[in-house]
Amino acid sequence: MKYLKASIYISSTIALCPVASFAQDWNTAKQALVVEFETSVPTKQLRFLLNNNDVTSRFKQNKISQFSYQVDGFPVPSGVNNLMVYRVIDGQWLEIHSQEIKVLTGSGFETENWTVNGSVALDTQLDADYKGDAFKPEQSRFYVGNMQLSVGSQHTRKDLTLHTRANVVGVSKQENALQFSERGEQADKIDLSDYLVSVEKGKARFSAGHTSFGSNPLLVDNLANRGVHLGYQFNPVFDIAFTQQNGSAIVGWNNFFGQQNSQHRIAASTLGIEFFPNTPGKLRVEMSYVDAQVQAIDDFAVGQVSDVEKNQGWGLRIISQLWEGRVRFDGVFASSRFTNPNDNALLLDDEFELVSVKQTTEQAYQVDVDLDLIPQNQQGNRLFTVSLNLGQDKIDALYRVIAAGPSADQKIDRLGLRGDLASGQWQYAFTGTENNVDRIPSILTSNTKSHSLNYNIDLVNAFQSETSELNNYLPSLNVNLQKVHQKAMNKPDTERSDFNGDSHLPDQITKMLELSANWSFNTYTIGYNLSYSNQDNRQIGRQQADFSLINHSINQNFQMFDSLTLNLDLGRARNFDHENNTAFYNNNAALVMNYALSSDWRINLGTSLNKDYDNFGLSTSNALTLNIGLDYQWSLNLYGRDVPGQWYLRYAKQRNKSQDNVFAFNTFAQDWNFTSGISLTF
Amino acid sequence: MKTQYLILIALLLANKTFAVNSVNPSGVNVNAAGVTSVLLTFRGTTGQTSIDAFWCGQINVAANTVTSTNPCVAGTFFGRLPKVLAQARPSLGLPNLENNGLGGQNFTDVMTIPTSVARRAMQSAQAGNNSSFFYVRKFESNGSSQYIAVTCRMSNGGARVPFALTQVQPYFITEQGKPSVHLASQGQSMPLIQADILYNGTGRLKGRWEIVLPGDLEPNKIDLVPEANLPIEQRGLQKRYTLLQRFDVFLPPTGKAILEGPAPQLLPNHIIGPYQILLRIEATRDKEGNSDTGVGVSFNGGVAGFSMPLLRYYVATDDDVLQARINAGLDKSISLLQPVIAPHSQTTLRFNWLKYTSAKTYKLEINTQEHPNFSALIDGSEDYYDSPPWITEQMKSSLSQWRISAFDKNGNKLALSLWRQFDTPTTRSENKEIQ
Repeated sequence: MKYLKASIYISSTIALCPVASFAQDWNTAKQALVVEFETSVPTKQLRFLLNNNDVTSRFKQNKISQFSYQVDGFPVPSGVNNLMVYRVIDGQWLEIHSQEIKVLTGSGFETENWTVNGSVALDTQLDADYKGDAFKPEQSRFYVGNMQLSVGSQHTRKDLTLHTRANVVGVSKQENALQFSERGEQADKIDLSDYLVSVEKGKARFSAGHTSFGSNPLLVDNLANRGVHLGYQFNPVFDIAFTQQNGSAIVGWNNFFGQQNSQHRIAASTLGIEFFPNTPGKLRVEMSYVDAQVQAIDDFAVGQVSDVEKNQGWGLRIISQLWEGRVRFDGVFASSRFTNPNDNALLLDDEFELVSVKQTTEQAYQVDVDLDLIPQNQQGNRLFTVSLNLGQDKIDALYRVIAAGPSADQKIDRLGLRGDLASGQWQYAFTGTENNVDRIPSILTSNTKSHSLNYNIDLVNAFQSETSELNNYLPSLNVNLQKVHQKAMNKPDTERSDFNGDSHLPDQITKMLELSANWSFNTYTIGYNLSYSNQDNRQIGRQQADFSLINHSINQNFQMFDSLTLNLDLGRARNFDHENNTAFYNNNAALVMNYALSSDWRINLGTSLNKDYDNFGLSTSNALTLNIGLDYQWSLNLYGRDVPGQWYLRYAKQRNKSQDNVFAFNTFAQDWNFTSGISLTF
Repeated sequence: MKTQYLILIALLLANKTFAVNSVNPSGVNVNAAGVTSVLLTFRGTTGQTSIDAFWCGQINVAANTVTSTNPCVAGTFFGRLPKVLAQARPSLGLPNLENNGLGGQNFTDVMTIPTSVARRAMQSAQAGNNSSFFYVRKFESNGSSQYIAVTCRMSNGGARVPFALTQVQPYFITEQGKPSVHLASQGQSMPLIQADILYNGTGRLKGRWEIVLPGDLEPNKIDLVPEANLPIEQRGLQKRYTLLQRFDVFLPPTGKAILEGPAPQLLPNHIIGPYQILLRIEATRDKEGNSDTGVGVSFNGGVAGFSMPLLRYYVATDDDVLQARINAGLDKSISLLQPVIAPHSQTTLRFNWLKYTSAKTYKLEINTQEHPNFSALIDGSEDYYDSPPWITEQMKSSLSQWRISAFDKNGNKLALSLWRQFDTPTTRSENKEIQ
């Protein structure tokens, strides 16, 4: 078929340029796109698709077999485009030709994308009331303004790529500031949430901001505080990377590059060697080094207990895949020199001299071998597959690093089996853990054995065949079983440890079952979750201190029609205290409803009920929350320009009533408030 | 008479030296290689204040014994409780006659052992000293001091250690990693939420995800701590916010867990403004963490040495500002008709709409599974588009939406339809009936 050959080119003057040269090179944004066919094709049968966008209507026929793209208002996007030409006969689309079209941006980049997103809003509490024991704030009426701005860009030119991203948030009240918890009155009202600038040119890359570094889980692992990052690929064999970041995750304008405090900084580097560059992953070795010192400053938005720490360490990671990936090896080793420099927060008025922490150099290793015993076949239809995992970790008693989080003083053995079973996935895992690796006799040594079994399957897909329709009455299922036995392995001498014979020594078995089933119909989904757990204490003196917990929950989501959505959660839990023969119950329900009255008006409702009680009437607690909101999309004429906006009104009520017959007290707290707000979109 | 009586009481109080009489629990297993948090009740502390608490490797009296001199043995001072970790507060105690009829008072404290203190104790044990160490709290009244100590026994941080959270990191799961601040587009789907949790002991983690909506009163420090950090009579007074979802899971004595966050569809994202997601931890029954207050036994499972961190997200406008303008009634919308099977081919969908008067070009956009899938530029004289057969197949098999926008000759957008969910296509005759 002669018409199966077409030529596509971009020209500053239509149809005058040689075909090949223009199709392969980058072209300026103003050049015209021309398609020419060697033989005539009925115009009505042609379809032109540019990046999955049908642009047939933009092509005009210049002369027989020649078509040019009409730019007006719809220029060919900058970057690498794929133009495909089809001939359509009786609804069948036959591909005639496909070709890359490379177009520079107006400023000369090969690609250029900007995204800007922002809003301003004013929220106000119109009125509020507090009853009973509820905390009464100083003001029941207040207002607060807030804004948000998000900017991002991407530029590429030849081997240069530039990415930028920044998010800024602002408030009018100091106590609402992003960093108020950390900096109090010093917190900026308009603050930088996060940013990233990334430049990549050829084999080198540089980034500043919130960037991630490290793949050694024992030394430096996905360190993602604010800082700078350099990387260079010497050749297919060697690559090197370096980062220097703040000692904790931060936000804000201050300490913009994360380099401000030399006493609170982490530097790390990694040299990677790919031994078989033609088959990446066959054998890769990474050597890492870390030099870090931090003050007792928490990461932003993390609840933790921080210390003053100093650490240097090096590590080695060997990753290998053999036998077409059926055997995989991952070995990690690290050595860490660590100490806690003196922390003034621990000093007590010179009354006593603080015992110094001795600097230690300790090691850790982690080895994993994976083997596909029964692999999936090429068709992907084998019903049963098995992969085996064997692993061991050993982490010295005082091993500690700043840029990763392995738990110290333990030896772990792992065995895992996993694979496909029918249309589902199954997994078995065993973990044996023991602490006190130095066998210090006065420290309690415990052994923990954990077995877990999991299977999940979507029965709708499992029972679907080419001849049968989907049966939505079948659920997707997930079953999880786990048994954990933790037991003391030694009896530390009472005089040396204060462990009092056997009664302080753990011997406990925990069994857990989790089952979930989810059904999905066109506009309705329902899920049922069951969890059961049993804690069986066996240590002397606590044989009866057992708990059994059973928990049922049902959640439903119903899209009744385009404008109404309902979500209903129901839950009930029973916790039985065998020692006191007491059953503790929790019943809860939550309803969320959204209803669009029209394209402008919307109502939303949320309510929840929670009740805790027990079979002896020792204590009861009832809580209610209610939330009703109405919002409206509106417009405002400002200096001749219409500005769209949003307005809302919300009523919220919370009530909590507790009665404790053991402590003989009642508490009752109730508050309600009316809140309203407006926002503008520019 | 009443005034004289009050003066008499004041004089009695002024000359009375009070003394803490006991602490419960008086000894606990702790994590030898990490952080430990335990709720303690110091009993009979009416009239006393306490600021300082510290750890020592040895003491010269038995634990849970009140002494008027510092029992810490010189050379074994492991450090004081840092002020940022101090969470002590007066609490309800057993009334007694010595208090002249006034209500009894206890002192509820959360002992949080930093890793650096545990490390000092571990190095001391490695050197051959006793492994146990002591938490000593100092009480003062009328210029005199009393000290009382709690024994810390070094273990692995698992079973038999009070159930406590030692690190909590909630985050969104996004393409940028695990941020704690997310900027969301109005009406678009929200990311999943999880929390990485490190803990000691074993027990039931029960609580709720709540949300602070734009305009709500900010939560205070009392609201943000786990319920178990508070004396039992203050636990019902934490302010509640709009509930997103409850959770109730059992954590085995293995020290690490991932807590699933509320379902993304429950996160409000229609009202523009700032939102804060709270992780509220309710106190649960844990034998190891029980504390006898003298009045009764308080249960303290889920205590922590810190406030629960906040997750923040900000809802801004949809990327397409024109959509917002249309929502606001500023711009005209385009009326869509039900797609039909094209008359010439069973594999082709025909998308129809009502013409917009001054349109020179229309743009059809099709989203599948909420991601852009296909688009088409259509001449302004047309009011339909016949899709390629592979798009028909994809729309039939996946959740899809479509919309139409109208442009003038310069490519300026004139009007935009609302997104319309794709339903099973009708035949041509059915479509006429809809019109």
